[in-house]
Amino acid sequence: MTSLWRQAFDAVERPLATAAESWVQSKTFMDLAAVTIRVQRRLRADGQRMTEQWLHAWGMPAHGDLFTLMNQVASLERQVRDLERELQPRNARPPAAHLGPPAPQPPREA
Amino acid sequence: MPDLVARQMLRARNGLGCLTGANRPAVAQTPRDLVWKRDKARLWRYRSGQRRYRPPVLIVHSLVSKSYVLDLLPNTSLVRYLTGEGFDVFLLEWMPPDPADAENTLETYVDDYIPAAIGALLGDVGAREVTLIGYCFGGILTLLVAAGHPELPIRNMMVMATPCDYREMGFMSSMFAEARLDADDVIDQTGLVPARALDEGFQTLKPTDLLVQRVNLFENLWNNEFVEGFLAINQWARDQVPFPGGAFRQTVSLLIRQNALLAGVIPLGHREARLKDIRCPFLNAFAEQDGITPAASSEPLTRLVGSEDASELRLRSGHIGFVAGRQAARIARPQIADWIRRHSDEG
Repeated sequence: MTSLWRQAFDAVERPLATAAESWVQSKTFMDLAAVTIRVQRRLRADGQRMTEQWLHAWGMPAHGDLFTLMNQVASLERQVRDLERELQPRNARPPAAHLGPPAPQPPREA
Repeated sequence: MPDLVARQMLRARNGLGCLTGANRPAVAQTPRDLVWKRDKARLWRYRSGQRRYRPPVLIVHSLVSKSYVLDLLPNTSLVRYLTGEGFDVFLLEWMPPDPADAENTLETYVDDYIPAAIGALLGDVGAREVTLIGYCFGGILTLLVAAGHPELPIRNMMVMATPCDYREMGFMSSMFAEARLDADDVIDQTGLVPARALDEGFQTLKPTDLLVQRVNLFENLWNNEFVEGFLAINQWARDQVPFPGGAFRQTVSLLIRQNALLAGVIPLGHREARLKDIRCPFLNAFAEQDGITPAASSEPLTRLVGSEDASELRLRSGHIGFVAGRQAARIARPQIADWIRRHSDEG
């Protein structure tokens, strides 16, 4: 049996949930959310740029420098992966026997 | 049901446990062995003394969540169930990506990791074929693999909670479909879509859900089984992973804006993958109350593939109805196992 407090909660929550779910699917909400995300991103970038300039003026590293380094290391890691792929013997693919019948070959010329 | 006093005692104990994080459930308990790895891809084989069916089953997990949802708790674990039913179960999962994976594209998974994992699996068990299962976004990857690599020995294929028609995907998809946002608006300086952005997006779909969950927990705080299940699911739902920026840009341009899966033709590298080229037996499993991948989005897949033996399994549950809850235990897991069994050989 559902308790009274739960019935009361459901009576309030259900219509609210329905309204909130249709509100987030509305064009108005999506437009607002998109603008908010873009403005937040812009403000964050501007704030970060100003902080970076200030820190760099004092010869100190900034958050952005950390990302630059991280991305450089990531780029190196990708290059190492590519090299590994090139050096790897071709045994990572399914063996030919597992790949079904071979593609038909064109007839040999006499 | 315990009496009132006992219930209040349990409520107090579980409540304290929740607050302190002491009763965090242990997930992913089914024993398994690492068979193969490459970069962030890991192929696991679940231990079993009763493998009765061939071919082996390979589950490809999504890129947007952690794979322990498939092995949440011993009594709700999909992989444990399938293993117990006599299948040789493998799981291909992705460790959380870091900046080195930021440029991974769909082709990285479809043309590299998944075919290589299938090769390693076949080599490991000496099998000639595989039954391929994709969960959520993993379903999209398996569709692209099956359509783009007809040479791979895929005997059967199943997708679970897999989106197809992105017009039906609601808020998150509409934000990009109608060009309100571009992919780069949510990709951070490391080149990844942060896990937080995905979590916020999922939470926005059902704004009151977090509150309702808390109320449900409070109401059932005396029930150890409920609390354990709740904490496990809640832990998974909040445990999002970043999404590689390269694959996300393609998701926005190909899958969301061009709705290429619904068109049945997906540009992949220098070629096109056609869903009509999937000719093996196919099962499209989806849930009617799924708020993340609505049924209307998954439904068209059954008619888009070229299989003569294409069917659907429709559940009356939500996104994780395949792996947790009563629907999973009574309907989803037995029917999934039955379908695989009917399309496998014994012995």
